Amino acid sequence: MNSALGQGLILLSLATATVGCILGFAAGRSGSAAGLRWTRWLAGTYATSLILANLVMEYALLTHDFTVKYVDMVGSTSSPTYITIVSLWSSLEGSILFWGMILAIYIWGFLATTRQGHERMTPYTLATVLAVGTFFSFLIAGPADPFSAVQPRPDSMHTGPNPLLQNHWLMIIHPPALYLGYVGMTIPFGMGVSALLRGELGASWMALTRSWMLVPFGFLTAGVVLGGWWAYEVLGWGGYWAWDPVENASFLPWLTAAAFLHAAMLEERRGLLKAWTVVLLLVTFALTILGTFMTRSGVFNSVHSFTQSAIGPTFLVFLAVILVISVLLVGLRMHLLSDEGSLGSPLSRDAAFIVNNLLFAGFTFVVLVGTVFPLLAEAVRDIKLSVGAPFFNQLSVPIGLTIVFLMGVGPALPWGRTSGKEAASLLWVPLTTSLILGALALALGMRQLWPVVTLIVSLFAALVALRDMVTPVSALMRRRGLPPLAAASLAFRRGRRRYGGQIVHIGVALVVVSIAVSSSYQVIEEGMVPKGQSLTIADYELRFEESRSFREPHRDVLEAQFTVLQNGREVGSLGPRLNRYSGQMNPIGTPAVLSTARQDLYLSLMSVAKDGQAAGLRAFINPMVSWLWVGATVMVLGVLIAAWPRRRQKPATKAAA
Amino acid sequence: MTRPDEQAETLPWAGAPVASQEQFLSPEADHPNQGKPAQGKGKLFVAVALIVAAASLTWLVVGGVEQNLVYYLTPSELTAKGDDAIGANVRLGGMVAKDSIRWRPEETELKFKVKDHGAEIEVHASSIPPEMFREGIGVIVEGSIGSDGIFQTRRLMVRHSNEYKAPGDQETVDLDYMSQTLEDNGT
Repeated sequence: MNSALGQGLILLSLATATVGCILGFAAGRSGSAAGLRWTRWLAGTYATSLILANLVMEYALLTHDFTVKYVDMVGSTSSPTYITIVSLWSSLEGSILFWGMILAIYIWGFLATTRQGHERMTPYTLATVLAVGTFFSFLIAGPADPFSAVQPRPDSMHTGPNPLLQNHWLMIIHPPALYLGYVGMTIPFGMGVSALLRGELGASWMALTRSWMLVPFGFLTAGVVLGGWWAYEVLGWGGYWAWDPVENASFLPWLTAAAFLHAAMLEERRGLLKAWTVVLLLVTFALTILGTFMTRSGVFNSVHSFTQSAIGPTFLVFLAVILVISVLLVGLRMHLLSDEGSLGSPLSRDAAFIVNNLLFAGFTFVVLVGTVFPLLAEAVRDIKLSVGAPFFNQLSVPIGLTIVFLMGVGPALPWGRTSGKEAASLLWVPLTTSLILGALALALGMRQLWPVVTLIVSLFAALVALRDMVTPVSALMRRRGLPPLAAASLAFRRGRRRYGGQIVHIGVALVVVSIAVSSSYQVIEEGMVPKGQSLTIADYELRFEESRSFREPHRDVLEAQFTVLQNGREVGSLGPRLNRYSGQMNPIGTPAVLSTARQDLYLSLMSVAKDGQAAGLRAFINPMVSWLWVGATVMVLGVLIAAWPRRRQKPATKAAA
Repeated sequence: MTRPDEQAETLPWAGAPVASQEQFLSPEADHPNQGKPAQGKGKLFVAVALIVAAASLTWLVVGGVEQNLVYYLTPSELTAKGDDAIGANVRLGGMVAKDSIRWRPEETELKFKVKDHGAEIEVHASSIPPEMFREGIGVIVEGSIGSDGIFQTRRLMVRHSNEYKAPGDQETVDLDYMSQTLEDNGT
């Protein structure tokens, strides 16, 4: 029943996507109003059918209908209900279905924001989005069909979803955040393709595209950081980022999306870089598909790739098609998007934005090469190798720091041009303040070069951002005599996008400093600790009290209790664990973390002696890690502020497109 | 959709991009080569700068990748390389040999041998053996071999090749190879 219903809905989505795609392109060419109306209707039906299909799957999961293939794969009557709900995205087939639902939600949103206006741009956009939708519906209907009816396996085989998903609540929200980021890039991609096909890129279309990029960008930011946080909380090696291919896969589109958001401002303000801006949209989308391919096809057997499948090649073909079409489109249509303005002087916000875009592109190139190289080496020369983290660090540190420095320079300078004198007067206060604070850090014992440089550069950028937020408030207070709060609220309402952007910048500064400090000043100790004795790390003593094991519904837990003493005073107790899941040979750890504003004490249990008289412990002190999560939250908040829809002051006019 | 109201009050230079563009195209501009006649030259300069930047980045990336490649090798492959392999950072994958594990908890010192069909290599680690570590299990160790023929590792990863699609510890492994060696062990 569920099986047939689900398959029917997927076939409906495939049909509506295909027809809508063709009709959309036709309507884009002919400009027919009826064609657009039908395309919109088909897109809406496509979205609805996918959402319903997801609901059917959820129903099947919750009722443990093991005759549905996917439920038979990941279902378990012993899983807690919330695990059963989220097991929709625990495995390949379900996550592609879930992918479809997110696309459906975005399509609904896009249909809502384009109800009026943009009549010339919407058909091509919808057609492109539905072309992508056709591919995914095809995947769900064929190669990755989750709905097919099966003979249920014996109940003992129903061990529930992948243990990594069950092991930590972060794994429950990390994939949806990442997917909302990834899938959301489809809409701006469609909008970019539409701009190329129409050969026009007006201000209001650009602004709409920018908003549609901001939403997935915010989710992607959250998704990338949640992934790092999850790795930190689960994998037990004391870090949050290992330049793992799958981590890189999520970071790549983030970089190009960030480049786009800046290029779009340059386009909007100065009419520059139109073609480049559109290229970034296409590249970002291609990178999300590459990322989905790398995460979901099992080409890398890395931490995240727990699904190996036969649909890898299908994805690769899709990726190739996207690349070929993108290159063709850009080659044939790019000349139509010519710049209106011309570049300002080297000392201007324009120049800072352009250099920052080049650096983002360079950063993307570095990460892409390091990520794809092992795959190519294996495919071409049949040797297995990996690219070491030092490669990424060597290049990403200087590039990243220059980007952060420009993050301060750009907003400090005006658009267009500046005299050297004016630039100096705008830059010297934040620059000298950050240098003085950097010298102070040096005096206080920060002796390593890169962390100090990072601190100075990030402080500089943060100070510029703060000044940029305070200046309008004080100007309003002076000129209009408003009280501080009223002035702040007016300034905020008027320049919400600017405030959002600067808040993001402050978040970036926090994140970057925290990364530099935590990776440069990590302390590691490990050893077998006999019962009643301690392992010493920095000024902490970790006393092994006892180990205990107990059963939870879905796993067996082995926990070692440690009392934490700091300078001889008891400050708490930590219980790092090893969890064993049925059907799983290797235990999965749950490190225990004592987090303070200054540093994290991070305990990872390696083993417990058979008699329980000793515990193998690996202990880390990770300075400033909590600021990474704080900074990331600030970033997402900033994106949210910038993306929040403005109240409609006037109905959309014909100026659209 | 330019929003001139956003910054107009506080930033006199913001807004109306076209006007300001005319401003700096005027002859009084600080940078005369920005004027229209010199624009072709400016563009050429930008293009050359871009090409130089792209080329040097490519050079850095290619060089950097080559320096930081970590090869996956079996004990036989590593042995076959002889002296060439000394000091190079590699990932050695194989089985933990029978009766080879010596673990001294007091010093956190772990010694064992990693083998495949043809060769056996002594591995020293100063880390706690992971929970699943035992004879006959597949492991990957990252580190380098010294002139004494001993492989020093900083990182020990335990492998298993049960058919359940299980997550790995960190990195990738040649599953075919692992299952082959597992069968080997069984006979």
